Amino acid sequence: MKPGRFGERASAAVQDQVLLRALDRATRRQHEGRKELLAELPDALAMRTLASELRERALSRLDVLLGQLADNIERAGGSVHWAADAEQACQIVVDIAGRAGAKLIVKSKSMLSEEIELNDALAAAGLETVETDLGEYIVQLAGQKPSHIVGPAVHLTTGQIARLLQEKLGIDYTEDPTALTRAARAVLREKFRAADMGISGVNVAVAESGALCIVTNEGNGRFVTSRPPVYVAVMGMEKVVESMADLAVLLKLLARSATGQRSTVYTNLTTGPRGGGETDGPREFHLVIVDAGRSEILGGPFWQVLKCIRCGACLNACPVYRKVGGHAYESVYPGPIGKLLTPLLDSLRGRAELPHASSLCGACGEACPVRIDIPHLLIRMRRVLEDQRYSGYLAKMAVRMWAWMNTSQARYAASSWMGRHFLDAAATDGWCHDLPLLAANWTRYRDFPAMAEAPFHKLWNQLQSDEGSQSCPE
Amino acid sequence: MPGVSREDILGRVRAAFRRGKVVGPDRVDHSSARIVADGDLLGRFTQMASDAGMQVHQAADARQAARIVADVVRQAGARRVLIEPGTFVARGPIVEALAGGDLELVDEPSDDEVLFSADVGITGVCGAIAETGSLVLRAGPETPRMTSLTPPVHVALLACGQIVPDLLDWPALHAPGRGLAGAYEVLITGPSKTADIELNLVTGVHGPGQVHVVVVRDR
Repeated sequence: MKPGRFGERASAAVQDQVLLRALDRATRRQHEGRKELLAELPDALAMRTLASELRERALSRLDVLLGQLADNIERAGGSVHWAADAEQACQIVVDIAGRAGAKLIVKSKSMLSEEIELNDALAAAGLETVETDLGEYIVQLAGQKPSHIVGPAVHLTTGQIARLLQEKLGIDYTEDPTALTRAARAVLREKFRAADMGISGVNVAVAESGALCIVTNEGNGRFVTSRPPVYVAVMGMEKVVESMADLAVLLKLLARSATGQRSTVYTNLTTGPRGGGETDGPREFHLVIVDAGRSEILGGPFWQVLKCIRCGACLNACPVYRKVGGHAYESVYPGPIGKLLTPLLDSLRGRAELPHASSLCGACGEACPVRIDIPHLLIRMRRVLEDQRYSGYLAKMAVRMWAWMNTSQARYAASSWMGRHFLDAAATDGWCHDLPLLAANWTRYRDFPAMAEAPFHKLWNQLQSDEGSQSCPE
Repeated sequence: MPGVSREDILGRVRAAFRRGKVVGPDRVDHSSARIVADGDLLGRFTQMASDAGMQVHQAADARQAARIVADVVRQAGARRVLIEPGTFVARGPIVEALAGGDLELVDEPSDDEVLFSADVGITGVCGAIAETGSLVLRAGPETPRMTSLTPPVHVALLACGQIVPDLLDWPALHAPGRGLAGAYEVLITGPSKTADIELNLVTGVHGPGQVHVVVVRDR
């Protein structure tokens, strides 16, 4: 891997013992929980295959399903807005808040809102936005970004959180998680009560019923969708499925894959504003459907990444994520799926080194509940990015030179003779630890093997002649 | 309004289809996702709901259910109890059992103060799912969203026959032809939980920290 910013951040991260411990504990527990609960399914692979198929079918009919979803929501009294990019999406939400005269906004966790930097846009418009998922709230108080799709604060220890809440909420220092949670609950209760507007993401949208599904364990999603007079859902355009049966399949896999639960505590479905005679629920209901690079991905070789349901299982399975944590990726979407999404999505472009931050061990592909072939897509992504990057004259010359060396037996033999000579002189125990010049870029991070004593073609010839001289046993 | 038209976005999607090679199967068969088909639905529901942290009580009839609810309310030390205005199994006997004393029984909170200071919320359900041990609640004029959310203790009344086997059977709980249009619905599987502080499990974050399910075998 090139020593880019990921390299620097990762090096710093692996030396942070506190971070390592927190990450190890969190990712291991969720990874083990996932495996245990998938094992109790009658046929986990068949269910993952089904989930993959229904996501592929939905994406192949995306125009129809989005139209159907929008029709159903409008019929139920909701408004549907369409945003081509992040800027439009933010402006739509800011305008809704402005027309409603909103001052205080409560928000349930949404990866899309992080991607489009919605909180910054709302702050710039003079609005107070409070994250209400406990982990997100902690991260917001700390002035940080989430480090995991599902557990935004996995990188923080109880002690760090205790000091933070002591400072920000003025409570007595305590490392009792229950007391810390109670303190946050008290503050957030008042926010829910007073909020003018609620914003959430969407886990899955169901075209046939017009239902927007969000899942939370804490119940903040219920408050956000039910309590304030105005509710706004922001959704990436790829999140829609056809039927309630499709939703049921994804729910079975989502909870198991994300947190090792059979079901998330609250599975929340909303379709529109409160109906006639109802005494609670939002009076205004908005859905913002966001493209922001997704239609571009849909038309290209990486369209399968759009199947992702953001469960975080690939993060927990990844040996790189488990050592360096989410912040090293410097992206809203860390871990294996983030290495694909980050270079592809509009708002996040320009992190070309990320697809290289992988050992291609395949654990992410094994973990994915919708069977996205992450390892092979990573290889393809590397190729695409290298094609864009190394179109320089020198790089082309080097490749041509290499081809010239290796397309003639004599030149190939000469180059391996040289290799044996120089590399073996530099090697100890069969490995070169410290090579000069350009090769130093390699040996700075890993060892390079010395050449074998005899090249393969020599061994092959030897073998052939040995066999020829022996008579076949009867 | 900022943003673009529906046709603009759908046009981009169709252009992507022409450019790329997005393919999906003609149909999908959901049967491989079924976990529970039939059998002892009450037994499965009870086990899964308990695993998820709910306290499941069984009552032979409405009278016994009312006694169980009264016990839960007493143990919670409740002074103010919200009860869903709509009809549900054992509602009559419950109101009877809780009447009198210095307990305030509220079916329509007059203001936020009442809503946010209630100690217990009592509701019916529109169904339950054996596979996951989930309760299905649906909002309506007589079934407000907040009764099962703001109080620290939620008591849900369930008739045995309301349990369906699998999450795949969830759509069957809806009245034919009505679908979900305009509705708010929530599946509740356990008390409100978080593990955001170093994976320590804490209950009662935003929603109720205790959920009691009273299953009435014979209404």
